[in-house]
Amino acid sequence: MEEQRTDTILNSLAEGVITVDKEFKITFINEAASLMTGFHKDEVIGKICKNVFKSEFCLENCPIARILKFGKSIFDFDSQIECKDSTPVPIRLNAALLRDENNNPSGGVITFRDISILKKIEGILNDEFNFHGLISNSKSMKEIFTLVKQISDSAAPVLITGETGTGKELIADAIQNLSKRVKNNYVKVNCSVIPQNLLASELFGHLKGAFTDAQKDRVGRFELAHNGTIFLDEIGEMPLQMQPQILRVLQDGTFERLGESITRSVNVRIITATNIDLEKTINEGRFREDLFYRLNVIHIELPPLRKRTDDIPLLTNHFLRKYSLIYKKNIPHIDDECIEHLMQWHWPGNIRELENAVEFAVIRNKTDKDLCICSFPQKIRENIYCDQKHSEKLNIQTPFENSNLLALLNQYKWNKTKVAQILGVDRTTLWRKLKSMGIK
Amino acid sequence: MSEMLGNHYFQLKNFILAEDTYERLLPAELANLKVKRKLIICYTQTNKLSKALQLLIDLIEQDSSTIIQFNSREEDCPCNDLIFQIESGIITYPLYQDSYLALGILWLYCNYRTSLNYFQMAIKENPNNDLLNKAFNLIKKLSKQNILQTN
Repeated sequence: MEEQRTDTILNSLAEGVITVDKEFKITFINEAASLMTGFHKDEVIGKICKNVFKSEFCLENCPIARILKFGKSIFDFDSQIECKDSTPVPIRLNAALLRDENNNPSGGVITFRDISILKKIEGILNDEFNFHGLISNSKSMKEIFTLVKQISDSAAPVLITGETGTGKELIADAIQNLSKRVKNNYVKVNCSVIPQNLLASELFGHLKGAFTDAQKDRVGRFELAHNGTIFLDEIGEMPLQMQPQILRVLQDGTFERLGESITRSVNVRIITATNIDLEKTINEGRFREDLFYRLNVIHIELPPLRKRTDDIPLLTNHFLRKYSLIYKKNIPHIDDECIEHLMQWHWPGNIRELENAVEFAVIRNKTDKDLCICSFPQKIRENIYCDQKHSEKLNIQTPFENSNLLALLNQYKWNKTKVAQILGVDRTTLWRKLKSMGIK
Repeated sequence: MSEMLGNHYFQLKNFILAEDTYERLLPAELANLKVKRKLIICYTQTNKLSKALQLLIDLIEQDSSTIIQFNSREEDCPCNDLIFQIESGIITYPLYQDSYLALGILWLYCNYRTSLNYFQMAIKENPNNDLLNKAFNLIKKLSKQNILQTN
């Protein structure tokens, strides 16, 4: 009875589950694993695991054997298994040992999920126009990519400027990934998100009792980034009174935790980014000129999308491939007129806006034909309509849509504004719909 | 050291590590016939044939059904492959009698008649080896009782 209950639980999981005994013979396979691999349980129970799934890691890198050797369970280990029809399937697995009453290993359990789609997306991201997640074939961006490669190994501060959505954080990530500090800590701080009164404690740490809520000692972000890199996003939002401390770390790598008199030293590379005009803030007295010059040793300015419109077809196709995979749609291309129209739009939100627009269009598109401008958000397509009914009229009133709506809400972590935007409805309409579904 | 890790090395055909793991395990697991059966195979591959022979005798005396009920295909036994490699000269031993003995032991897991032939050949090369004669007589006795089958 208990065994049947366990089987029912394991069969209800979306992840594949396989257990083996100490001879590595399969003792259990759940329904999800059967579905993924094509093997029925009667075909595999009692057979030696490696002879069935023929994973490239079955021999030297058998996950269960690794646990036996090193004593640690395995999480998110990428591997590949062979299905019944000999098709290889990329999987991401977790593995753990099963033990008998004497605590001796008596078998192992492997849970896994199919990551084919993820791998395809990675493939898209790895193509020739992709530089660490930045897609471009334009001259200006290629020059930036070259500069990033040249400066990544130095420890000099980098200031990245550019409008919102141009990929400043991706450039910072690329610098870190290409630098010698890649294996050390990489700490990201968004200066505009942290309340001004907590920023000093967040960046430099504090001692217990340094202020009312300081209940224990805390290590600051600069210390965490020691020997690595710190990325200070939205540096233009840094309060004026904090700026001398940042300047001091930049100049001699020293600081004190709040409430402490000991001076600490760190070796940190500082990358900063902003979408505001720092020289203007200097003139307005909101940013220190000396700090600006310290930060601005290497300046990377990312062009807005409207100044590299040649990239729009490339980016649009890239996002089309990505979201077609995610939403399991078979949309081959984007039609030429649509591309032309997209190239004329001024894209104030830059690449982020383009990506959201393509995602919206892919969700709306109901045919397997090329993506048409009529599927894009209204503000982009303006008054262009077509009579070919490419797009699904989004109607969140029908019962069928309820599950889709919930899936979409889950996907966007219940960000109702974003979901309303994707559905092309007002946030209040979405709220009314959720209320009618009994969801508060 | 666990039996499971030994099994992993054994399946990898890393007989040195498998032997080491099983040997450490055996004092606490004297009744574990599966470990003994695999350790015998390891010994044939690390050229410790006297140890293999002694353990084989222990195993038969302890429980002859371990050999009888053994299904080399189901157990993913490497014997067929090892036999092929010894018979075709890929794996070699310093003395003929060692090759015959290794083959006699390995064939026992697959076909007792061929095993007996190889044991006879080994005895011919080394007639005064008591262990060899003892093992041969035990296997012969089992075969006469029609206990052994061709797996």
